[in-house]
Amino acid sequence: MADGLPATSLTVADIAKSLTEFVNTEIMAKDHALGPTDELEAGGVDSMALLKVLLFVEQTHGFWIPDEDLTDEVIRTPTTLAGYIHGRLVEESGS
Amino acid sequence: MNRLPLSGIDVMLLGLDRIMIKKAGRNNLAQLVVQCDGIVQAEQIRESVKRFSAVVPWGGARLSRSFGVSAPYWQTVPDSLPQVRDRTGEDLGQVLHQNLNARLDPRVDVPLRFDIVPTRDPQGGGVETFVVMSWFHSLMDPRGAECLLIHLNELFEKQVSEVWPDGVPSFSPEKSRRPYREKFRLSGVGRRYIDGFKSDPPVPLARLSPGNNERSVTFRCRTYPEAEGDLNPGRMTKEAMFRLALAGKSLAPLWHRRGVAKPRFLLPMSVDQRRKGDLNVVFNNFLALHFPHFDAAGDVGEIAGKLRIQMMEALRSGVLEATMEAMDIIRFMPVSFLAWRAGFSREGDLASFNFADTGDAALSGLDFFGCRVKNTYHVPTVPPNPGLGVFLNTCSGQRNVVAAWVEGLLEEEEILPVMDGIARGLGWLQQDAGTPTHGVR
Repeated sequence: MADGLPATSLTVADIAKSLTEFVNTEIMAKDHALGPTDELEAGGVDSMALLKVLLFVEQTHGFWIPDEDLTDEVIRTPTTLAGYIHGRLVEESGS
Repeated sequence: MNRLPLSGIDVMLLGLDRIMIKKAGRNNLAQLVVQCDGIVQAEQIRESVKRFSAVVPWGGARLSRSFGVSAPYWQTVPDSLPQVRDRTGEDLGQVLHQNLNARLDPRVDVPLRFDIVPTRDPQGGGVETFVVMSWFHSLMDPRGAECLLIHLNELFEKQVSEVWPDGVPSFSPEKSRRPYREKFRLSGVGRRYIDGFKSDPPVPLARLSPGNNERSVTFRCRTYPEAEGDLNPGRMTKEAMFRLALAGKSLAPLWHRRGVAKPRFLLPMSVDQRRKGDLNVVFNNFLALHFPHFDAAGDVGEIAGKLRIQMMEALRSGVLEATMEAMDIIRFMPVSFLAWRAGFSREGDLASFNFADTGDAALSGLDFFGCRVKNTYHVPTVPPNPGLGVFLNTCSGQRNVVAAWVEGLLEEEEILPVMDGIARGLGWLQQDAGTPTHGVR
């Protein structure tokens, strides 16, 4: 889990922040940093870069996002993706 | 600054060139076509090229290798500029055909050329211009070529000092700063990965039909209007592996007709290593290689899933970086040895089809030399079985599927179902009855 916190203690904003940091550190050029609500595709995150993001999600949160959930709506911005991840974490901690 | 060392993959392309010319007498130029809605004059391009070359000389350089043993490099030549040719009155198909059949000797010839081909819009509009950029493929990769065009466009109206007030960038990737011990370790990992492919059966090269020695390149572009709403809800059709799987699956009937009943092969994929939004890496091929196993059995979703798993595995294991290091190390080998070392067969071609998704190209939304960009595509230089290149892009709100094939290898009636099948799979709208197909011959 990110920062060693229990899954459900993470907010959508926390997750969006870590996703944004990852994107800016590993994918984007220095002078093209994205914000949590910036559109990933418009910012230049192509499908290959998206795979890196999904791998980061798996390593950080412990699950792989299945194909059927990889909709344009989910992967639009770091925040929308964080919303999905948060929902999954809440679901898993409740089950 | 009068030398630019070739990257590992640049040198690998040199090695492949040596093998492929013996096998099939092919050309060694990569081509990028930009279709502009309006007039772009050769003089405008020439002026921009001149400004750019004054600070970045590699487009007019020559290939060299000290004493025949050092790693190859590009050597500047005083007053040498890339060629810009005004092809007014000539047919685009003929220009592409000439380039398809041209070879240049990078030790002697300028490695970068532009052909400016004004033509009448077949849909009854005004004049449009095709800007054809061709280059020796070890000079830069296709994304680098797109970046170069963007810089030329900036220099169309501005001086160098206005475009880069803080100093001109190097325009080539930074060298790996790993310690040598780590480089050699990674190189070993990459070489073992590549060596593993030698046991894979080669896909036979596409052959011309008897009596057809012309090797004319033919293009067909079909344009699909924007869909109202999402035609494919719940499926992310922009994802690279889905698009690759869709293109491969759509081609399966063609392979079948060419005697490859169950298409299974290695699919060399080049993975762009640029930081997103960075347009300043132009020269040197800045790519990592990935070799997934492609199997046309199953539906598109299953094929995409298998490709995605293999890509994820390559990312996880770090083998993409390892192949880059491996190629960097073998730069010092004789060129004739390189392609064999990389596992490319002398008997056939491991590659199986050309596919490029240029949908995220920065050129797509650009006002290029004062004109709207209608379409951009690359021209496949190698006709692996079944001899077809497929390109996807979105320019000015239009979704384009461009197919390029070599006459004598495929027929037009075989191409159109493939193009429509790909568009349908992407959820793109069927072409309007009144929208003519644009053919370039």
